[in-house]
Amino acid sequence: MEYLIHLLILFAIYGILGISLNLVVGYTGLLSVTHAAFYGIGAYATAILLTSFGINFFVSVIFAIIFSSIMALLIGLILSKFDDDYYALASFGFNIIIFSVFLNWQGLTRGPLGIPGIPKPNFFGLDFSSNLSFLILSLAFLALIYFASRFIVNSSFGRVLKAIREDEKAIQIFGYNTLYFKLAIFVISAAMASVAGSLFASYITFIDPSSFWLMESIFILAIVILGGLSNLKGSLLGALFLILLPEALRFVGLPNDIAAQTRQVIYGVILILLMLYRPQGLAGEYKM
Amino acid sequence: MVALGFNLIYGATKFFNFTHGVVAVAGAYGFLFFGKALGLNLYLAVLIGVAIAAIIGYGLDKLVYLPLRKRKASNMALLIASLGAFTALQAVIAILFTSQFQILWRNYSTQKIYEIYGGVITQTQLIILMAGILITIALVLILKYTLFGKMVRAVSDDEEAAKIIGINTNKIISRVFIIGSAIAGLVGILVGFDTGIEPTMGMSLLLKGVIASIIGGVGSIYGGFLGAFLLGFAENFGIWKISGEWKDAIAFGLLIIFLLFKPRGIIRK
Amino acid sequence: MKLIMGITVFVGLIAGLIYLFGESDGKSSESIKIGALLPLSGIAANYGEGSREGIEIAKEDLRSKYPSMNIEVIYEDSFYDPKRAVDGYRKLKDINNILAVLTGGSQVSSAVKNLSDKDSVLQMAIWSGAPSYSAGSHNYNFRITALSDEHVPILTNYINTRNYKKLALIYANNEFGVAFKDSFEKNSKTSDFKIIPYGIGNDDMEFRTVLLKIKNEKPDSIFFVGLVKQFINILKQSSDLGIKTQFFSQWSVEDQQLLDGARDLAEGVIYAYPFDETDDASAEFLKKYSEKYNKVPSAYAAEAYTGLILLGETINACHNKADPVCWRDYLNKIKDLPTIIGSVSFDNKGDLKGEKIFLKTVKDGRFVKAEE
Repeated sequence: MEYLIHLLILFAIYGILGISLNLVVGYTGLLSVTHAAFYGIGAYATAILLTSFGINFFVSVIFAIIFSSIMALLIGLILSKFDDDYYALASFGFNIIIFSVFLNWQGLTRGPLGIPGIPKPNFFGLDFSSNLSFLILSLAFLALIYFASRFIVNSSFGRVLKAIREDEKAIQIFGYNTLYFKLAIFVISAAMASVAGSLFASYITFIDPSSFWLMESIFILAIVILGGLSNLKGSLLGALFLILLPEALRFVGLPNDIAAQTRQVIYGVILILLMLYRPQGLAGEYKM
Repeated sequence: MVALGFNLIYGATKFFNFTHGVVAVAGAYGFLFFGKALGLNLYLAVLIGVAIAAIIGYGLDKLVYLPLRKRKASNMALLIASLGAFTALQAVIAILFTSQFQILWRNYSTQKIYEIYGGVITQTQLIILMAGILITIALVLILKYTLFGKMVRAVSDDEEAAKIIGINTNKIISRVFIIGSAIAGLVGILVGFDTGIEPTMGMSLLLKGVIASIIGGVGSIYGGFLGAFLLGFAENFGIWKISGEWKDAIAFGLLIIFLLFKPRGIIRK
Repeated sequence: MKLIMGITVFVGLIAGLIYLFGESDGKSSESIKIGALLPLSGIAANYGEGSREGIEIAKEDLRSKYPSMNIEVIYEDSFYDPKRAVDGYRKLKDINNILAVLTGGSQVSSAVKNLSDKDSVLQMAIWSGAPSYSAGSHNYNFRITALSDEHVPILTNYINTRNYKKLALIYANNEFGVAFKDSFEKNSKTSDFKIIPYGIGNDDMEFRTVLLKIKNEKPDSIFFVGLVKQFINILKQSSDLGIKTQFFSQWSVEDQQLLDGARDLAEGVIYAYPFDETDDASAEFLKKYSEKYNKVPSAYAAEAYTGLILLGETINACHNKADPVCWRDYLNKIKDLPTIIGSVSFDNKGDLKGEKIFLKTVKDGRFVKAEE
């Protein structure tokens, strides 16, 4: 059914976002609330390249990755000057700044009018315009990113990240340049988020700044926390859960005039209950 | 003032409390109902509104946050739970009062306006300003000189140590919630008098308050107050010099630059 | 492990629900199902609520005019967010088998446009002002929101003939605001008055700094496009600051919230509106709405009402057949069909044309036609 396929495509996109944020928040202990910015950069890069220049989707993905990586490098450098709570604040400051750019640099992004008519991907004649084929494409990206992340996490690079999370000073004494590691993972995570953005732009065919504002970053953070910090499978579960829950609620029959609001109430209550019964997340073991 | 309440609660419990925003909205709507719908006396309605906010804050602590703390939940889990509570409460308010924008003030002709040095300030704004100053002073005095205040500071510094020396941390925390939420409720009502209310106003109030409190130095009372001024200044400076649309970006840009040089906020805890 | 089993059960439950409710939802399969994709919760909820109210009245009207017509309207929350809107659309199409959909808001309408085209579902976009919506191919998509380009000329004309020289243009940074600002700038190239634009944020409620800037420029008129709640605050704060000029605005400010919130400060505001309440059909709608909901209908409600009525008329003209192709052809061909927003036709891009735009004003706490 198209409906299920649609939900699974969203799951793939948010799965990528969840995994990539988990690398930064769960494994390295950096509370970044700016993920939606890189997601947005990826989406806008693909949207602009595809609609204004007719560039192939996959090429645009590469451009998007390069661009968001550069932005991530700059932002990451500035963020590294902060620690703890200030890191979170500065990161959501950046999210707001980049959102403001999406909204106000109208010459480039058409601001609140958004960019419509983004075409579906095309690979040497292989057209991905049917939803099913797009789903397969998205799942392929998801798998790629999942295994790449697993590789990173289980490698010695990953071990350094976890050490940074536990006690940064200690590992610096051993001679590790923690700045390099933190920047590296931040950039990698941003690149992955931008892939999700490219997929999103092509799938929904219309993007506007409202999809990339602060609450979106918080939503992605919720996926990571709900799924369990520093657990990649958890992020997948978190994405699945947070996408399916509001949809399942659409089926709960309620009197028309209060239906939607009541569903929000139920949604909120379920989140609370979930935290009460599994405070470490669906699959998590680590608590921040 | 949002920053003050938020700071207080954050200091004691160390988690990012989303519901702080919605508690303010609840206070405002409480006033709306008792003041306008039931036509009660103005001051009485304000008190009831504040009380409703305080009760909801207390209820949230007892029903949600306390059980979570007992289960040794992480701050992240508390954040998610508060997000859930925020969504749910906001929706309940929308169901009860509809999503229409409403105003709390009665009549324009009776709005007093004062001119000071060429600037204009309305009566409501003056009240907000004075309330902010009074509450700041009150909180500083309480925290410094009363036994309760000292216990709050002990819990903020180190919850474990406080428990060891025999302080009933949960009781202190629930008192803190009541006070913080009451302040939030007052804020909701005052903002309603200044610019009106609607169910979704909680989030923007909260964000501004959080930002202010972090700039000023988390957990510090003076900091919350100063941080709020700085934020307001940065925003309006942006509007004045450049233009309204870029306001947020400019405000945050300035803030980040500022924090680069003073990464711990203005006032250390 | 227990966890994996739990998750699998949960997912299975969702899939099961979807399959169970998949084919039919128990209602008579004779009825023609129309979806209404509106923001029913979250920030734009009051537009969703207003639209729903308008639709409910339209349902009653259709029922009494065409008793043999069997239409069912199914509401889904769009959350005013493109991707959630697509969720909602998919559910409406795949589960509820809708044949037509009303979509509220430019982002939602744009996101759904390609989908409804592919699925041969007739789309009626309401309060979707972004010009780019109708760009590209036009097949099953229609829009009943008059574009800012339609509304602005009558305002610029008035401003010109009344000799205003300096217009401060306050616009909210969203698709309505920007569209109106662009239209104004386009339409006043040949005029005598100067326009100074001032942008404000979508969530802003504090305008004193912007207003101070404006006060220094000493304009003789101010045009506002943005949310009603912002307009209320602008009126109030302008009054606090001692700014006394003629305020102009556009259709979305005809809203009970303005009367309740701004009271006497709203007196004399002039705005462009496509709804003439001296017209019989409009007066009927006004009366029914006010009686049922105890307030004046907003433009959102009026458009939603018109959207469903148009669909109803179309279905009737196609002999109650569930045939979107016939509907589409009928809509493309209509000329000057009387509705509460004027006599309408659709142009070759599916946009509404031919509404007569009036100037209205607020007088004695009511929205009335302005003297010419």
